Amino acid sequence: MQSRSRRELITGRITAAPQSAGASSHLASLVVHARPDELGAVRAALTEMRGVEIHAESAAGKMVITLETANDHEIVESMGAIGELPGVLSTALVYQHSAPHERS
Amino acid sequence: MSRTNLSDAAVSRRSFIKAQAVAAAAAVAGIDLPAKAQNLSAGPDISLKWSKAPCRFCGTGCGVMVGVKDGRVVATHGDMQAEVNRGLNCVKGYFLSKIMYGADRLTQPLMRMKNGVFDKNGDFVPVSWDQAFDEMARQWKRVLKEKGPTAVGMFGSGQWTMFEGYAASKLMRAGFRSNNLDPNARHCMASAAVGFIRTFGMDEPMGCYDDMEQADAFVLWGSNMAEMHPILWTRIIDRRLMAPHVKIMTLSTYEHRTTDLSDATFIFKPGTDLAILNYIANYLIQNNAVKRDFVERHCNVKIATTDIGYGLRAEHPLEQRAKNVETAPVMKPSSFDEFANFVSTYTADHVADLTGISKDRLEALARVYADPKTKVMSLWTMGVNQHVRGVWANQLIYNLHLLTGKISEPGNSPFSLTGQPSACGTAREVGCFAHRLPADMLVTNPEHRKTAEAIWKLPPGILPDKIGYHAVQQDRMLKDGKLNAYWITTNNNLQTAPNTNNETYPGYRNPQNFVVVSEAYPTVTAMAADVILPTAMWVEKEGAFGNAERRTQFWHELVKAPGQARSDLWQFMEFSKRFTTDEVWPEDLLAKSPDYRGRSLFDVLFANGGTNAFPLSDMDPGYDNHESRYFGFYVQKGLFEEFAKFGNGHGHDYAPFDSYHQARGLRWPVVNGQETRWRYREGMDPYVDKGSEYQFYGNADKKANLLAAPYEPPAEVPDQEFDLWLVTGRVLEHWHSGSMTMRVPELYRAFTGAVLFMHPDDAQKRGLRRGQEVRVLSRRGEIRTRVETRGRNKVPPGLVFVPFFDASQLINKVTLDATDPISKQTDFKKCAVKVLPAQEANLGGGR
Amino acid sequence: MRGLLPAALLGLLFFVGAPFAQQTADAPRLTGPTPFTKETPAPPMQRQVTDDVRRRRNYPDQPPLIPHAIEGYATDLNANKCLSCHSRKFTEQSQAPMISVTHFQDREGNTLGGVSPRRYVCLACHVTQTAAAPLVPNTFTDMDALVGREPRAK
Repeated sequence: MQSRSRRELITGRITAAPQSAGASSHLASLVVHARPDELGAVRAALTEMRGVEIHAESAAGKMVITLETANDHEIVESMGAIGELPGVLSTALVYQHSAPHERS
Repeated sequence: MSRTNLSDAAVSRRSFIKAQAVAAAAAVAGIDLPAKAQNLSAGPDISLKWSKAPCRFCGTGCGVMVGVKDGRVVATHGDMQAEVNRGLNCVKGYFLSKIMYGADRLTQPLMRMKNGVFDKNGDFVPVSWDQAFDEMARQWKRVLKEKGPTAVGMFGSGQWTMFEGYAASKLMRAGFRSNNLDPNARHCMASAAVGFIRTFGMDEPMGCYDDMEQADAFVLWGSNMAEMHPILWTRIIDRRLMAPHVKIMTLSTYEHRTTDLSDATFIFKPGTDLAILNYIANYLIQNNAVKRDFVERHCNVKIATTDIGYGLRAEHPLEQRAKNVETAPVMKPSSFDEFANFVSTYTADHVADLTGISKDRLEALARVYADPKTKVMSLWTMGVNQHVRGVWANQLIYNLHLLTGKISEPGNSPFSLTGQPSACGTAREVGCFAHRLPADMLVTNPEHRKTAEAIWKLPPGILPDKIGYHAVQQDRMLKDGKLNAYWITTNNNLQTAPNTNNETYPGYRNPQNFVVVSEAYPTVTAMAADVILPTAMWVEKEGAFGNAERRTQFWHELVKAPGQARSDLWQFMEFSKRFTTDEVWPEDLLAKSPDYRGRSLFDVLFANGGTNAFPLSDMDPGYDNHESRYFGFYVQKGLFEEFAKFGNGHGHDYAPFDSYHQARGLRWPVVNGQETRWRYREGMDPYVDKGSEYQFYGNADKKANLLAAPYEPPAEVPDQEFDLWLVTGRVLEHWHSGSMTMRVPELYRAFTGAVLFMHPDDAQKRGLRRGQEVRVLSRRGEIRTRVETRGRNKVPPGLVFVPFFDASQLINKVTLDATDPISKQTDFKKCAVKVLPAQEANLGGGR
Repeated sequence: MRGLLPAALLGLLFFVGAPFAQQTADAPRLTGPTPFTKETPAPPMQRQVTDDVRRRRNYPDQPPLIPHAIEGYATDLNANKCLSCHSRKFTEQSQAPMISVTHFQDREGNTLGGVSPRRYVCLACHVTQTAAAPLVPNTFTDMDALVGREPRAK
């Protein structure tokens, strides 16, 4: 199991070549802080995004989500996209896991 | 979310990782995850299979849940559904998951050989099961031919499952026609068992653990429950702290963790417990605290034969001097007035002087029994049982409860605590003693033998009618060359028997003897054997134990035994295949019952139509069962249902076999699906007739026996030269000889080696310092140990304590092989020693 | 008393010189002396581990070991020394780990307002450790090792 630092990831220093579509071997969990009054809109937008799964949320606007992508590059991109959503105050990467590429 | 073409394992691993990721984020966010999102235990990767089992250790019989993953035990915890312990275990129970995994686990049969053949002076060589059994069969047949059934023997265990004990009993008694089967429970519960029979006509307590939540006073007679029955101790402490009127009073020969939590502690001189008991009986009589009506209606009075010796070898001066060695068990009829007169000499003055306990403290103790409103639970184990007058001590405790009528009702309970997990179930109920058949029947009783022969489908007259050699006697007979083919299983007797250098070791290495040891680990005993058979442990086989409160508990086989290890049950059954009736039964009997000619013992004992009546399809498909798969029928069920025939309808009733796999144990007698919590009492015990209130139906006249028995001194008391009492026993962290617990790192490190607990004044007087290496010597042998003047045991001056779990400090080289002459149980608590600095006085590594 | 057998004396000297931490050297502590009747030196007293470091539990339900000295810590019917640091009331001051929530449940599983008296005897389940190396290895497998098995890349 390789581990990457959040810093490396967020500053985009790691750009692994995109791997074959469908091999979602990168997993990250995030805390997304949304405005409480826009929680519904944020939730709807997140549901639309590829690789995003919502696991929990609180009335105060905090949400626990996971991102599953083919590579690190996509994690960075997705995080950026989430951060741009109207109503999102901040995103924080908590846990990141890159599995060795598994061929089916 | 897209799924990919990953393999199942990869997918489940991914789920686990995702769950971890989610949990971490939730923690950061301060959000509680809804149960569904907290998928941690739902993914197949981290699921464990949990199954119930009783704990492997003491007679408390805690229920545990055993977690298995990938064929290994990975966790255990106390079973919340088990009434005994409701989720608690002691530290040993919490490390059950490690006891099977010592790296030196035996996995192959080993036999001493030279030049490819068995040689008692050879080294151990791995052999196949066939080779081992072939040699064993050859030796057994040779000995049976040359000397007959009295020359073969087996030393079994209160840690055998009930199925194993039953199979062993059949093999020995019906197969080889020898009653030389005795369990290590002879060292632990014989005095209690004999005490029960002599008082009530039937074995085992009339009360149950439920008494602990009801009693107003607990009186502990020499038992250190805090260390030896820790979970029962928690029930007592729970009761004590929740109901402040409750009192705990502990009698002991030294202070320990139990006295630390007692309301009153009574330190008495070793052996004088008998006098205290008689004093209390006297007090009850003098102060009108006797329930005369109860005594008249429900009790007989007997008087003991006295001056009965000490169970030593006949040539010993103490045995020569004793007048009534031969008639030791005889109880003569007596009367209440005689009894009152008998105990009247046990005045407060006399007893205070004898015991070292002050008069008013003696009286305070007596008042607890005397007060009709105080429900008293008396509890005892080895202090009373491992005692040269242990049977009397047991009976004198019953006296107090019978005189006051404080018996067979919630809270009023003389409760004999059991040491081993199945001394009750296996050694006593199944009957693995040299004098016993199942369900309290006796080998010497022709009616009982007839019953057994009928149930076992044997020709009449086949069962031997003489009592066989008991534990200590087996060692002596081995030494003397009279016992020549010997099988030791599920115990470590070379470490735990008394006076081992002189009386145990010589017999094992006697060139005339062939000794087989079935073991899981290379113990001291295994190392002295001729053949070692690798044996399955605990949840590596389907089993049943019976605990101290008559609760029979079953478990399934959960993991495979390593290598070629197999259960004792498998070994007995497989070994029986090597014998035919023609080879081991007498010709005249075969002539009378020719149908039995030429049949394998396996057929006759284990495939007799009853024992093999249950097919493999009766087994729970969720669990394996190596013995049954091997033999082709449900072995445990067949044996158990046959065994149950002995007791059903006679007060020893068991539920049907399958019930025990469902329930968290059931307390016998189980009648119409109902267990019995209090025996001998109308309304609570289905065997008591309506209108009779109490019936002690084990006796023909349904009365219990009061016994007048005196104080008689121990076999060996300190003198000028050997000036200290030696007491041996256990500690919390280690079980018995440590063969399992010393291989668990956390338990080993919790109590790393035996020490000699000594009073600081005694140490100073002898110029000894804490940690110093010393020799502790008796007239029989010596060992080297280290002085401990602090810690959990606070001994009085004149007494030292050494635990017996340490194979590098074999304290039983020092102990004395004196027994209770009636029960034949060794007194491990009293002999005389001296302590000297070791020659190379080594202060030891650190504190 | 210089009456010791030469073999026993040699054995003693060897033992004193041998490194005590070696597992194989200590196996006789489990199998007994050879021959059985031989007199063997007493193993050394071991140092208690009192470094306050929390050790990994073998599985979640295992009661944690005690990583500090407890000598002189008395518990009787009136006072429980362990709880003077580990009870809910005192953990903020002591920074000692709070007793598990399981310790607040009675026999029936009901949660009580304070520590259940059935949990009063701490030392029945929690033990200290010495620095001794195990006599034989124990091959118990932590469930994490079984869970975390990586599928082999093909």
